[in-house]
Amino acid sequence: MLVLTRKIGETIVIDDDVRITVVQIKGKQVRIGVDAPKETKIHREEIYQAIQDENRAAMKSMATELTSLGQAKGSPKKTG
Amino acid sequence: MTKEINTTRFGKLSFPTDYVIRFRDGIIGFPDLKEYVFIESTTMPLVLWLQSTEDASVAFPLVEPQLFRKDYTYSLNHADDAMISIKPESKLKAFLIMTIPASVEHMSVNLRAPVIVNMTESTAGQIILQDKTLALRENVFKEFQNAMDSLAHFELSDSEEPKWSAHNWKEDARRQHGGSVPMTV
Repeated sequence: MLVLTRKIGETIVIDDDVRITVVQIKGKQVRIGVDAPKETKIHREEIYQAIQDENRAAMKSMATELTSLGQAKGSPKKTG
Repeated sequence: MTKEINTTRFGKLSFPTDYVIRFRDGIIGFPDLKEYVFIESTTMPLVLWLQSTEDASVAFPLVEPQLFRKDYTYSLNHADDAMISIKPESKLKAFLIMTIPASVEHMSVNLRAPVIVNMTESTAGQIILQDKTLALRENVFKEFQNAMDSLAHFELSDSEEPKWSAHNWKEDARRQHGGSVPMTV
């Protein structure tokens, strides 16, 4: 990871079109401004990580669990 | 042209290649898998499975949001539009990724990060909504059971095996199914 030290108001430029600015420092919190092309996806890491974890859990879902739920509900019926 | 894959959950599946939906950025956590088909079953009408055509073991259960939240809405930002090739005439459909653990009563859906399908372009993506009140894990066991109960014609005989088939999104787009494009914010 590239680590740079910035003062309030100073900016880092990434790839010519992404600019990250330290807007404010208050105690342990830093307010960071991001200036990027509107097609750029920007998210807090925790939400990204949480969704990743949830997707992994979803992938472990087995089709059989649902089918067993269906079989528990639907009783064998004679048609006709 | 048809493609055949041998999936871990559904066995061998073959489908026309134009049934494949492309995810520019994949699913969050699985960025390298970009091509999926949507698998439906005659015996489980409420769930659609998002099956990777590149990794036979990767599949996610999907449900329509309206099953649990009749007023579910989402908004798209410019990044979302770019990711899913959204144009004014695009026909979209939203799905929630469901998690079905071994203890089924804990089944949940992710309201915060729906999968949006652009039927017109055969593209899709998982977007992250800003509304913090939307849970990543919303328990839906009761609603799911109710929904199953209300399927009056749903009969599963002892000997019936699920029949799996791939969904044709191009056909849906042609028939003008799906909602209008939400306003870009």
